[in-house]
Parts: sequence; C-alpha cells; structure tokens
Amino acid sequence: MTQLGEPGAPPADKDRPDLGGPHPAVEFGRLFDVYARPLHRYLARRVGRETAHDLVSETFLVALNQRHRYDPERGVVRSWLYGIATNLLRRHVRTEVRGLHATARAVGHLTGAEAGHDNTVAARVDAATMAGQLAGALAALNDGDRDVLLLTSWAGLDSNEVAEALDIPVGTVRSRLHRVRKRLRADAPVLSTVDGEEAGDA
Amino acid sequence: MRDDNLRPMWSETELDAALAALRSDVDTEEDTLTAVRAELIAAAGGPTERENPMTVTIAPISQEVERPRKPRWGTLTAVAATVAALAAGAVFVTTQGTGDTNPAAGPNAGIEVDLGNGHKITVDQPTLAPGQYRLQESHGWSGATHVGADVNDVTQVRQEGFSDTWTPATWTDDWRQTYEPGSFEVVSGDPDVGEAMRSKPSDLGGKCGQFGEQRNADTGETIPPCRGNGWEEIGSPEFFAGLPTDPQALYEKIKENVGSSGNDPHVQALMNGSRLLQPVTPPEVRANILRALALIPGVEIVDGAPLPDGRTATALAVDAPAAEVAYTLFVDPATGDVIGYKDGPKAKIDTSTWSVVDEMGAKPAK
Repeated sequence: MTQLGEPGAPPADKDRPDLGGPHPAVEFGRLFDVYARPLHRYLARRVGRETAHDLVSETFLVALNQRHRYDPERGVVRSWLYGIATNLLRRHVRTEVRGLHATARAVGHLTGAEAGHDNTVAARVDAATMAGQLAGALAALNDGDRDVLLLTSWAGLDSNEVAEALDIPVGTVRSRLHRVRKRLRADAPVLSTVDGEEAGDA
Repeated sequence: MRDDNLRPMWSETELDAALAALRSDVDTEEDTLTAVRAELIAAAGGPTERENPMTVTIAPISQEVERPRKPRWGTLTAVAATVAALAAGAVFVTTQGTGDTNPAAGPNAGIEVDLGNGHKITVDQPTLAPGQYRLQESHGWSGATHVGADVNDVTQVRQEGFSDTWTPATWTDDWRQTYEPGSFEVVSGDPDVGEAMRSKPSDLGGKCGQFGEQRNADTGETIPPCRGNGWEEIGSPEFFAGLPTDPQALYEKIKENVGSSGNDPHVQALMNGSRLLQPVTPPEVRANILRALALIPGVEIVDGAPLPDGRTATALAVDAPAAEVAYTLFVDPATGDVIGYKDGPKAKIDTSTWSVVDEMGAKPAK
C-alpha cells in the first residue's frame, strides 16, 4: 500500500526538501516555522535584534525567490538558509564589529565596578569578563573565521553544514575552526577589552 | 613568535563557556516573527493582494525565471498540474462542460454524498471510452517576484494564464498540457526585469500527469513517470485502492500526511485532501474523500456558493485568520468535480471547464 508520507518533519541534518512544488507557501511556511526562530536568535547575537529581524525576512524572501537554485543533493536546507543569511550579513559587518567592541567595553566597566564582591557576584563578573574578552577577540577575527566559528558555536551547524553554507571545502572548515579556536583561547584571556572600535571593520 | 606556554590560555571548555555566555540573553519577539511569516506566506502565494506591493499575491509563473526546477507534485493530475504551470496562490474553478454530455462517455450511477448538516452532493463521473480524454480548461491569475543581487531590488508581476489538460482514460497513457499566457502586468520594480518574467506558452506531454522531469529529493535521481512515491503517486489505481474506505479513517490518513508542514493543520488538511480529487479518482473514492474533508474541524460548508462566472458550487472552506491562511474548495454538487479552489483569504477565484473529448488536443464546440 502506498504511504501518504512522513508524519513529521525530518531532522535538520536530514532535511532536504524539494522546493519545486506548486505550493511554495506550504513548504516555506514549514521552513519558516522550523528555522526562523533559531536563525533569528543566531543573527540577533551577531548584529542585534532589529537588524536580525530584517535579515530573517530577507533571507526567507531570497530563499523563496531562488528556491529553484536549491539543490537537495548539495546540502540540507538549513545550511542553504544560513548561507543566504551569511551573505546578507556581509552588509552588516561594521555593525557587528562595533557591537562586539561595545560589549567588550561595557564588560570592562562592569568588571571594574563590581569585582571583589561576594562569590556569586564574582562568578558572574568572571563569566561576564570572559564574554567581554571574547567579544573583543571576535571583533579582531576576519569575517570568514568569525563565520565559521559562530555558525558552529551559535548556529549549531556541523562542519559539513558550515561548508555547505559558505561553499568551501569541509576540510577548510575544520582547519579554520581549529586555528580560530586556538587563537581565541590564547588571545581572549589577555585582551584588554577595548582596542579601537573600528578595528576589523569591513 | 608567540609562546602559548607562557601566556594564560583558556581551555576548550572555557572558550565554549564564553561563547555560550556572550549575548546569550537575546530573545525573539513572537509578534515580529509572526508578521515576517505572514509576509513570506503572502510572497509565496498564500494570502492575496494587499496594498503593500511586497505582499501582493506572488507566485512563480514565469517558467524561465521562476518556475520550480523540480515539480514536487509532478504526477498529480489536471488540477495540480495546472497549478504547477500557473503557480501556487492562483485559484481555479472547473466547470462541468458540455463535453460531459458526449454520448460516448458513459455516466456512472450517481453516488449520494452526505456532508452533514443537510449538505448533500452527488458524485457522478463520466466513464471514458477508449481514446477519449477528460479535458480541463483552466483560467487563473498568478504573480511572480524576482529579487536582484540587491535584496531591495524587487520586481513583481501579475500574469493571467490559460491551461488545458487532457487526461486519458488510463493513468499510464499519454497526457498533454498546454499553457497560454494572457494579460500581464508589472506590478512594481524594473519594467525590463518584469518583462523577462512574462510567462511563455508551453505544450507538454507526459504520462501519469507528470509533465516534465521529476527527481528524488534525497538522491537526485530522476523518477520515471508513474513511479513516484508517497503523495507523488497520487493518481495510480494502486494509490486509490490503498486509501481507507472509512471516511473517518481517511480523514485521519490525510491529517497524518499534514505532519508538521507549518501551515495551519486544518487548512493544510483541506489542501492535501483536495489533491486527492483528481480526474482519475474513482467515483466511490471521490465520494469518500469528500466525506472525509467534511470531517475537518472547523470546515464550513456552503451550498450555492457563487463563482465569478455566475455558477454556484458547494464550498468547503477552512479559515485560519490568525495565520492569515485559508483554503476553499468548490465542488460541483451534481458531479463531485472540483470546480475551483481559493488559496488564501483574499485570493481571486479563477475558472476552468471540464469536458470529455474524443482525441488529445481536441476541444468541445463552444
């Protein structure tokens, strides 16, 4: 007997829909429901909520209108969507770097004001300090390195998906990720939060 | 040269902790995403025209610019195939043409279908003689959008289209579908880009309602006609024979197929269920499908629903205003044929005509 189809959506790492159907509203409604929220969160962490809102909208609109270019053989739909978003994000590199510097600067102020209180506060300050140091270190990365790192860490894509999203070999992703993480582990702890706001801007 | 051994260095765990902590407090405004979703669905041809050009009914119509490369519903019969040609979001109304009175086409005994609450229709389908075809002449409106290298560079067009589909008596025999564009309008954007999106005439053959190539989404392999899987096999005698004969069980099957499509489940159930109503759907199966669709929660059944050309139909409608989606299926109460549908709360209703002809490409005398 012919089965009517799968009762549920496939997991993201197996989601390779045929976007060529006659009812794109249906498929793209599903894609939006599955992927828009995590995409928004990922983008908001990078460039802020308002810009992320616009980028999510643009990402899905571009995806809709370029759906005939999506090839399920080449990758899962999640990486395709994040690839589109990453391209759109290029226009906002300056905003992202400026925001990272602002975060680092704010954490520097917090550290100076609150350090030395009780253990809870100290722990919070430590975590905030590390995040601030990381922000400064992220701002110093080149765009490609930052994309690989954050697509992996914040978006949760695996190396294959990052490769699909950025259209680069998976080996490049892995080596770049290894190099970037090593650099951050070394640089972030000694970073004195603010080192020139515009450094690293596109 | 840097000597990592002489400097403080985070562990992998510390780095991951810092990554996790950095800007971890961002949140997502549901209202905002809901609005974005509504715009996307409108752009995909879900809802209908609005004042904002970005939300004009948009759907792929230009076969060169926008037509999907891999039609998912390639084996669907006339209704869906026409939609594939003319675009989602359009609405087609099918009328019982004079050709159904062709004496060579023998009628089945009508099957009375009780849709509940006093709503009754009859399923009365013609039996095609060898060499005859059911012809669906459809007329629809659709839209298309094109986004340039700059995502703000958006061009939108509206296209009128006419599609004729000849369905053979045997599913696996040759089919034919023609498309002829009608009036055309560049709604917004670059006129030259818009002009390139103008639909072009087509004349496609195929078997099993599959016009053009169909490929497996996972493997990329070309799926030969008449060998689909799941929904793509709709139309085969085996598919219809495998459907539950109990309307409630059939409804459950349709509901199961809806899965997590993201659309309103009841709207999606009506959409999916309507796709089972093909020209080759056996009358008794058609009757059960209609009974099943009447079981969809929230479905509104209206007798004598007016169509744009002045005829009336029995309408089955599901509206999900919160999601800004709706679907209305118009059924000929005398035959059980799908004589139209409306995909979106404000969508236009398009029209077409059913008839029986004696050869592929023929049309009944008007």
